[in-house]
Amino acid sequence: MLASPLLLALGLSAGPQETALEKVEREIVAVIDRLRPSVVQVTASFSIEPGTTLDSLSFSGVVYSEKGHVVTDASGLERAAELTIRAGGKTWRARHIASDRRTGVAVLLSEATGLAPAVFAERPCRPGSTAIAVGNAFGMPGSAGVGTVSGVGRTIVVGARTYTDMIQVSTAVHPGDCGGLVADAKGALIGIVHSAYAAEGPEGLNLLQLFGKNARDLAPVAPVTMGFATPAAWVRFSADRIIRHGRMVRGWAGFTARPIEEAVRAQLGLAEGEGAEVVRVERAGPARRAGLAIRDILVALDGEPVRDLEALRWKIARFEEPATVKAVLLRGGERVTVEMPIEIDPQE
Amino acid sequence: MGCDDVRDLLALYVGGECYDNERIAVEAHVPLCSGCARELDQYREARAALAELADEDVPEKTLKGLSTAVRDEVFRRGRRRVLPFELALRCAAAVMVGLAIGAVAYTVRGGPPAPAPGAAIPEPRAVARPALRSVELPPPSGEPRYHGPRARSEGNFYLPRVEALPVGGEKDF
Repeated sequence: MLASPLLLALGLSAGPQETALEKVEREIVAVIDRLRPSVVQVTASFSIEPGTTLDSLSFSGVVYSEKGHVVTDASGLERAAELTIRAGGKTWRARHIASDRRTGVAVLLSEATGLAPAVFAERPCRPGSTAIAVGNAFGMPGSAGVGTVSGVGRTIVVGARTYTDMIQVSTAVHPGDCGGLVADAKGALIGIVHSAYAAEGPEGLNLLQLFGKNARDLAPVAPVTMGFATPAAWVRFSADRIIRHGRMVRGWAGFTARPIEEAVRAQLGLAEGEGAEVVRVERAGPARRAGLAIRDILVALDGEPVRDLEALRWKIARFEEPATVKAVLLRGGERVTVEMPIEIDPQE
Repeated sequence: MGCDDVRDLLALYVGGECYDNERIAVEAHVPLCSGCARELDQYREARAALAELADEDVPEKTLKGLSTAVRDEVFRRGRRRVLPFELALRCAAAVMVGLAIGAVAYTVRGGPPAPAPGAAIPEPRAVARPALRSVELPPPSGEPRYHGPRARSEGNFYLPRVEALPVGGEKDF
């Protein structure tokens, strides 16, 4: 008699065993369910005359704080007359606090309450890791897709602006997803959706056709897209600065540099990975006033050797007040030390 | 006021720079003249495009000087424009073809049959003319149509398109 309930319980629990794939699927579904409350729909209205609306754009945003801050991509907001955010069937007015034009991150402030801020990943993502995107594809709230991180540290040009350190994802992103959330397998934000690249189909005569190569095999007939996201670290950096100052405050030196080729480095007698070649100096920038010139090799800045351009970018961006630092250059084979002013980025 | 006078005033009218008597004259003429109405539409589109290109509101007093250049931009955006007299030219061509056919038929048949002696000459029929409708024009400061550049997205859902994927590892500092 006593054994009967036990046997009954065992019988009820003995279902078909869950496969590894089903387990993965269940966990992905759970992660997406957790992410959805952190994603809002942003609508930007445009007008010429006050009080009228000519057209509007709809995209996505990520809840950044319980105080109503939302982060999104800056390009959709430019010149918008009114902003609203929508989540959970409710709509709130929002105000654009400021944007960081270098990262494309914008911060909105709304009166929304009860929204769940996204959890940020503490470590940078790596190629091959999971990338789950949640946005508002074509206005459909909470649209989600799963893919992988295809690459990191990418440079892209959007709207005649160059964005560096971007994450490339294989996850499908669609119009309306801009500003949406990209998370890892734990559900931590690794970036926000920035843009997508669509390869064009074959056009005209490719020279390889003269050698019997089919144009259709050289370029895809149907567009193939890859998505790009602004990495979490830069999203957090820009958002925190904007919230703290009410505007974007970051250091700026006004030059562009690139890594040195190994052969050149060996000729200059530099250690492996050391130095960066200056390729552009902005006309009205601090670097020009310091005498920095194209083809200078920047060896050290503020007492630290230049080994990693990403680290150098962070170092300069972190300045919150104008300052002057020592820059060591290689110019014509000789070491030169100059006083390099660091100013606050004018965001132009 | 004739078409030429009205067209001289259209840019000022759209910019809200007309005197009251000029505004009344334009508003009286445009509903009756399709050519001037089209011209007025073009000025409004130019004004909308100008506002889209500028970072600030349209400077009212400079509209006339700038609108010509902006109209070129509007035309470049691929909308085929109907020339002001295109419809009239088509109608005129159709009428001329009709007249030519009628003239030939008249010559061949020797004209309409003469009325019988003593028969009453029918009264010419009154031709029903459509009443002129009063068309209410929007005020000069009314909402212009939007012809600004569309976002690079489908519909109004936004996702910027990557224009280039440069290599070389350059970074701005």
